[in-house]
Amino acid sequence: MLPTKSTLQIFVFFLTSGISALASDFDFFESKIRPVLVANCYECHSAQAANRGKQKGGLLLDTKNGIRTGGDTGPAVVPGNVSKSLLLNALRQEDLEMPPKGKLSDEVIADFAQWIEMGAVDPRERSAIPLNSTTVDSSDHWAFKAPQKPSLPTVTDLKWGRSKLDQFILQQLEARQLSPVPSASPRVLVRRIYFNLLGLPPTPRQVDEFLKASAEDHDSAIATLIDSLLDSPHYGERWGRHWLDVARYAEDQAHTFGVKKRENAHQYRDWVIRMFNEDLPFDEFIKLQLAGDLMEGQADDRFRQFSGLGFLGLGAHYYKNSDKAQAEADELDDTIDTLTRGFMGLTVSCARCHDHKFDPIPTKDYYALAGIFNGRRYTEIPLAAEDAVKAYNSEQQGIKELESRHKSSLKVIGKELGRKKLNQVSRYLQEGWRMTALKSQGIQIPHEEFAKKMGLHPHYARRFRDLLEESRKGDLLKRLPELGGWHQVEVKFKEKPTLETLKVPKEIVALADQLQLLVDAAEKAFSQIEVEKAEELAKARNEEDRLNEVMGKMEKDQKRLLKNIWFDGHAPFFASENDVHKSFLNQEEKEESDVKMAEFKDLRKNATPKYPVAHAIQGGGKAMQVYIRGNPANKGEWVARGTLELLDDEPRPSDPEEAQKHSYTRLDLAEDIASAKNPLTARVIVNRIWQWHFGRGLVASSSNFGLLGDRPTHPELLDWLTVNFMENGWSIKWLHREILNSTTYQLSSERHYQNEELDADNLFRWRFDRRRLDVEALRDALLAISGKLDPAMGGPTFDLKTNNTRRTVYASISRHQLDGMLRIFDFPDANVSAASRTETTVPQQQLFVLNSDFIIEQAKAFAKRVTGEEHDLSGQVNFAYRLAFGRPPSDDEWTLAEAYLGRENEKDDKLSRWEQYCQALLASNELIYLD
Amino acid sequence: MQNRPLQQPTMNRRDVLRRTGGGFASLGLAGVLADQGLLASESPLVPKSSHFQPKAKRIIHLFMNGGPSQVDTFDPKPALEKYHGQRPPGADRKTERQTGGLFKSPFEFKRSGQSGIPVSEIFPEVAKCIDDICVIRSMHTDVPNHEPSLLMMNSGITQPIRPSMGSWLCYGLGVENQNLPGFVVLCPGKPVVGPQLWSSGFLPGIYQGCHIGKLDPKNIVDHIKNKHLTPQTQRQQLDLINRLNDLHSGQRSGGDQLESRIQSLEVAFRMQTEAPEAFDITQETEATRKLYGEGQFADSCLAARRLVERGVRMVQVYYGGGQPWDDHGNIEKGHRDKGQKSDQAIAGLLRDLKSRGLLDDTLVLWGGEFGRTPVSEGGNGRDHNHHGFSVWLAGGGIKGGMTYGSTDEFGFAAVENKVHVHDLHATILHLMGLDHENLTYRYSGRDFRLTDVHGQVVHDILA
Repeated sequence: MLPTKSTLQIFVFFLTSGISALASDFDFFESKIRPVLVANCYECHSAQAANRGKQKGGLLLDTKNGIRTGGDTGPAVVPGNVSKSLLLNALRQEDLEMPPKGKLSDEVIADFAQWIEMGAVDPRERSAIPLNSTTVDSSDHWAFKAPQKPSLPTVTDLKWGRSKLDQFILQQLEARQLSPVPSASPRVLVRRIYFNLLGLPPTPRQVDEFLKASAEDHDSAIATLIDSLLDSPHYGERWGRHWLDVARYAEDQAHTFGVKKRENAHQYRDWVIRMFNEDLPFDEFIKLQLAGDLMEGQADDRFRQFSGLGFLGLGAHYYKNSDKAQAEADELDDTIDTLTRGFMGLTVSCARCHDHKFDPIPTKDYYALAGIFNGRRYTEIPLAAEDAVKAYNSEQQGIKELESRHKSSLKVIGKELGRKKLNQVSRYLQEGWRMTALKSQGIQIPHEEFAKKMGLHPHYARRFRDLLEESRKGDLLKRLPELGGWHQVEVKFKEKPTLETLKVPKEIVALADQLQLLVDAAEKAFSQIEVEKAEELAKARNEEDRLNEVMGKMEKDQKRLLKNIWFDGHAPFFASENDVHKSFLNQEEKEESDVKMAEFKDLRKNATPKYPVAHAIQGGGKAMQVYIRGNPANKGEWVARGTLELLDDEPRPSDPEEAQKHSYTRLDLAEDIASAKNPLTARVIVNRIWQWHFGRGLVASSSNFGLLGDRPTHPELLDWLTVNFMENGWSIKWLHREILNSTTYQLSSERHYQNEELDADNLFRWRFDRRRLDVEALRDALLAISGKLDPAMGGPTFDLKTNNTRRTVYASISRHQLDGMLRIFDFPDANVSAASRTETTVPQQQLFVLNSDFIIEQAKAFAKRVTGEEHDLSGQVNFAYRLAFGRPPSDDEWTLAEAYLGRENEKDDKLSRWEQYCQALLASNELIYLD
Repeated sequence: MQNRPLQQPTMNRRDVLRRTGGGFASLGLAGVLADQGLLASESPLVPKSSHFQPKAKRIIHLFMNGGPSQVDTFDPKPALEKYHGQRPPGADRKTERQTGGLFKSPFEFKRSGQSGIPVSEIFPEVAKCIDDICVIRSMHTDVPNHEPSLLMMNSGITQPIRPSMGSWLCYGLGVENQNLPGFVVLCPGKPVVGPQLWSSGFLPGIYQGCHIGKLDPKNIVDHIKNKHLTPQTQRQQLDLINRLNDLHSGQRSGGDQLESRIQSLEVAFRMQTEAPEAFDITQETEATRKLYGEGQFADSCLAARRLVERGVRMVQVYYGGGQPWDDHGNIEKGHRDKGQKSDQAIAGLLRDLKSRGLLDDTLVLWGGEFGRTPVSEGGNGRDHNHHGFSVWLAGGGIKGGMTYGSTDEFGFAAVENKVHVHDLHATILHLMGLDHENLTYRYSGRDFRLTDVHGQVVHDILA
């Protein structure tokens, strides 16, 4: 009940609203409302909070407009309507609870209610502090401007450097008083280049050949080596793997419920390897991964055209039981995050909940992209030729038909058997009643025994008993309403009945007999149709169909009756094909049936294996509304599908109708990304390639070229490489040659204390950074040195724990539980696109090198190889060094070897001295760190 | 052009080590050196300073996976007796499955300790420790399904792609004992969901929880045991490796990476003996073993104490594999049984920690991924309930002998002083000396947090 004064004020307010409020209303606001807002709410809901990044819930309470527009959940204040004002809901701690520190006093809450009822007079037209603009001025950001080919820089030292690339490097070095270290020795270089391009160490023979050629003409030896390694099929295994990090390639999902491993995931992996080997132009490589299915041509090579779609098809697939909309939104996010960071170095996912805080990416951009994929479905595209798919399908179909024909004949037997019993409906019902009645009196007689004693078939006896169970009363009434009174018949027993003494009450007999008459009539009608429509029915494909067709022609009530007593799966006189097989066939028939079933199983087993498929996502493309704060339940404006605003000259249609109609497909997106006009795409891949050669990109944040990413250390060089890369047909191999043939790449990894003082992180490339081998190169090298490496390419994955000797790139990659060796050696989490690998040095890695079965096995094989091929100690040690490190041992190392190998084995040791020694070589820093 | 080193660097970490006795004389030394920035600064495992003075240095999470019922454990509701079998409007909430009328607890509650907090008869020993415990009765989470709720409790999000709290703690605080993993998960078999519950997500893989399925000291960390050489021979072999590495470094004027791997090899060598010892509960006295009682859960609790004592940052003890507390049917039998198998161990752990002075800076968290409905499922069971449930905290920085927040009259939904899982996480980080808004990791272009954009520290329960 409101005080009279307020009622009057409301009245006055409505009279005067739109003109002016009473001065007393302003007083009320200033004395009772504003101080509370300032003290309790502004910390999180004001322009000041927003400017500090502390604003919560998208809500501003420091202006009239803010409080009335409200935040994510709706208007905070609706003048005159307390129940619709979420502010009150929150203060009263109903669905929302504010302020977080605790409920305000009842008086204060009453003041707010009164204020709202009075019309929520609010003089705060503008906030005391202006809200910072959220639109980002990025017009000057280097990465959003098209790369321009710069002229070559001038340098002082004209003798240093082989290539144009080197001039860009030297210019920066000179400007910073840094001096490049000398070139690495040919021995170091050959190892570096082998590991770099193939992920494998050179064999002793390959080292010797190179050293010989290098002694004659070093530069040409290097160029020849690079060419030959780029032609090796193992090149794709190494460099394809780099891309698989970006593509967050894996075969399964992070969670366990209801997901199947993608059995053909390796097709994508093999495709990436092949495309790197073929040096597919990178723009084409992008397009095939995003929209191979929408592109023309190449129909003769389905593997090439479709397998790249695994980039999206192998993406996140989340658990949808609890919150489907949210899970689908999260799946879209996986797609957008992977493709925008992966191809364009932009963190568009940041704009899922709010406009990007640092880059010019409004939330609408996110939903413009998301719409392209919204409503898509997961598909499997056959990679085999059409006729192979047809042949497979028709073979499978053939087996299925044979099987169903056999099953159908059993089904028909079941129908015929049941039909013969239809004249015994009353009898079975009465006996069924006796069985349930005895059971209800606690007398359990197995149905087989009962059936035998009463001369019934046990199969049907059981089914009638079950039909008449008290607990299934509802079903009975629905299906056979004729038996309506069945469960109302009550019998009082003076003494415990027995099978012999229990009599069926007359009400039950009457109901059973009555149903018998109806069934008889229905059966007669059924037979009549069979005769009358014989001609038409003769056309049926088989007996099962014929019976079904007869049933279809029955009058409604009789049909229902026959179905429920005989024809359908739940009917008491029904016997399925399995029932027939189990309970009705004689020994001979049974064996015959078993033979047939075994034949079908054999047929399936020996059938042509299923054709390979590409995992893809296709279809969809429904424009979306913005999900406010990323919440699928809170939808905002419609957004037309399209690319990012910053890449597009034409604005997307903003009218809701137009926005929904506006067409923009996956192929459109692929073309906009893989375009020379896109300032990011080519730069991003050029920078990644640089990173994979040197350990760090010219832009260190290789998946973030936005304002918060790192600036390039050599912007002109990046542009020069990028423009040339595009002019050279987006050829990755061109880029490799450009980089590897440079002096910069060929520098030694030596220290230089003066340089370290100026540029400890070697940002300006005064040397080559020593790097730890990544897990693939490490494992493959150990196998290569031990002589156990199986060079086979492609095909299904294997579990690393099985001590398989194939290259690591072919191992199974799990999002749910990553293999232990991969994990401890810094393999990236395959749930998300990885820009680079972290490099840790932790004891768990050393435990692997000291104790794992894998290392022991390689140590044994290595020792056997060395001692088997050479016969004297010095030859053996020499060979071991050449295999492991590509060089002969030094005098000190020779002395160590002699001392260690000269000692006797301890009797409790299970490794020979040679095996121990070989393990030590494999565990040493020289093997794990590449100069 | 100057190509040769001009001068030696002022401090070579290896020299420091050699000067102090060659390798690691003690763990303390490793800590000291790390504090002085002299040891493997690039190692992600070295102890780091917290944002502010922590109340707790380590945490044991007793995870009652499957979801224990609050109205049968720590949140008694007399109204259930009164309305038994009925379904008043307040009890008509959606959970995972079909439920019936209200179902009174089959257990008696006794007021316990000085504080007089009522505890269910299934926990007679825990009840005696109630004055050290703070029961939060107003927990709530997002969905009534195990998988997303397990993920929420562990990593603050319902999708399986983010780091778990244990990984965040190791990232934020480092690892005190270099010879042991910083985050250990004890669970026979695996809980539902499995490895994603202790995943390090985008944080470096080394922060991932180390799952121990069976308390076998010989097999606790991957490759911990050398099956081929006697310790003496292995020492010889490691000395050979060290000599080879010395020669290698000598030819290259050293380098931080090379030095830190040499140290790392030594640590690994020591881990082979120290890590198994940490898990070996047979070294405890009979009295201590009696304190915890028998059974795998008791053994896990005891191992947890040994681990935190040795500087492991977080130990999670799952009640069992699968989801044992998931009593959809016969709550009386199921909960009584699990109470019986865990009561003494939990109380034993609290008492043992206390008597060793460890409870002061060790936080103990007890609870499931959600609670259960006060309405029945199938007559005598209870369905999942995310609207309201109880967890309790004890030890490091927690006010004991109190309850916080409350559920409605039937115990269905949290109503007063609601605590979301994000708030629980924020509070735990706070106790560990970390500001949940500042414990961030830059990934994919933005700073991620355990609490995402949520979380309020529950100050009222802090001592």
